[in-house]
Amino acid sequence: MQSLSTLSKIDDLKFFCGDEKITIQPKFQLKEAIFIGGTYGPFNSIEQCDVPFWLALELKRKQKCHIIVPEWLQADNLEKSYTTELAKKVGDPYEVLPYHYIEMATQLLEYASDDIPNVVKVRRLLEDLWTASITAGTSMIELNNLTGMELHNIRPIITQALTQFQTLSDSMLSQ
Amino acid sequence: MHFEALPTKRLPAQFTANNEFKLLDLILSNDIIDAEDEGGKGSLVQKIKTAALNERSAPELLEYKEELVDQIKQSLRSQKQRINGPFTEFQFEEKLFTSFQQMEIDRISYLLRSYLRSRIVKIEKHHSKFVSDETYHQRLSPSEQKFAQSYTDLIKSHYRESFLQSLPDRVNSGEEDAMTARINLDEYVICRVLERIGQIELDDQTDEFAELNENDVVLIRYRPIQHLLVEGKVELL
Repeated sequence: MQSLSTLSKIDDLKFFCGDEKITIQPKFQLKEAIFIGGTYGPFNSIEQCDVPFWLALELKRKQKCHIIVPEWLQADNLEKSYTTELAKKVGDPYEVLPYHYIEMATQLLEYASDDIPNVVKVRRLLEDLWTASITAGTSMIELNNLTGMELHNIRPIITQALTQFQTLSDSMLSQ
Repeated sequence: MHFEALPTKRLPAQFTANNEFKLLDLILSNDIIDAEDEGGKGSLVQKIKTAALNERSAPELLEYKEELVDQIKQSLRSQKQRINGPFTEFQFEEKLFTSFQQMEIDRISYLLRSYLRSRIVKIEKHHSKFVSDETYHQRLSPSEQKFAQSYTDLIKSHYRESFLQSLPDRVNSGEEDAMTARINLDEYVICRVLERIGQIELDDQTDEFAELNENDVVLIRYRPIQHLLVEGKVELL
């Protein structure tokens, strides 16, 4: 049953992050492109423009654009995020990174690594950051600023545990 | 390896998708929205995404979003007409973008299907509830009502033929409700607060309250936020 519907799967998360906006530097000319989700353009080699993440990736795969690396994925910003994550104590708010940062970062590293400056360092920092965030305490109920992948990780255990707890306390009350 | 691996796996490749769209076209109503004058198109995609996620995470079946589904179907249709229309100039980039537009159509119809599919899963799970309970019955679309009815009939006759007929009458009460999964509104869900709500009562027995502010993401029992979800003040993740 679960595999059919109830849980967001990792592939779905990857799919959902496709609607985030990202800036590209086009390598072609086109006045505008009309999509259901909006009209994008003009595309030319002078101006940068914002397009959905999935479109940016497709254009990149066709060698039609450069992807402008978002600020949070730049090495010094990642370093900052990592230090904050390490210094964090239980109860502190989670680090503010985009909701879909892992999904976007892995895809950018896979398809657009030539657009990322310091790519080796960025890759290492992302891994460190991810390890730090999954080993941090998850006993809190407040889930502010948890990213999609982090929610996916804790969802089964935490929701089931609390649901079970509720059922138990209900039956205690009715006795 | 392919980025679109997921949607293309579930949605058939472009060729089969085209066939399905012919089917879709048949079902669609005759109004064609002129794409130029649609202001809130971007939010349309956002809306079906939220609807699909809400439906997937909520323990009960939510109201069928008939208007939204119709709007999406219409946009898909008019967009499809645009990309199949005659080209004024045969630029390479324009042809390239046609394939991207087709890709977007596939993405959106995947969302639509994912929304409808998670509803079907719930109908199958709690089928007899949707036939017997008027409030739940009202939440189904006409074709879902038909589906729920025939599914229930099938299950009933299957149970009867496979074992119920050989049981003694006193254990064979014929109550279908007892044989389907109960809808547990006390399940915990992860929800994001979209606008400031202030204090809500969590439990009427213990008088627990929670303060919900904009952009909070909380793990909470479904029942206290049920009405907030209907009003669109929170979304499920």
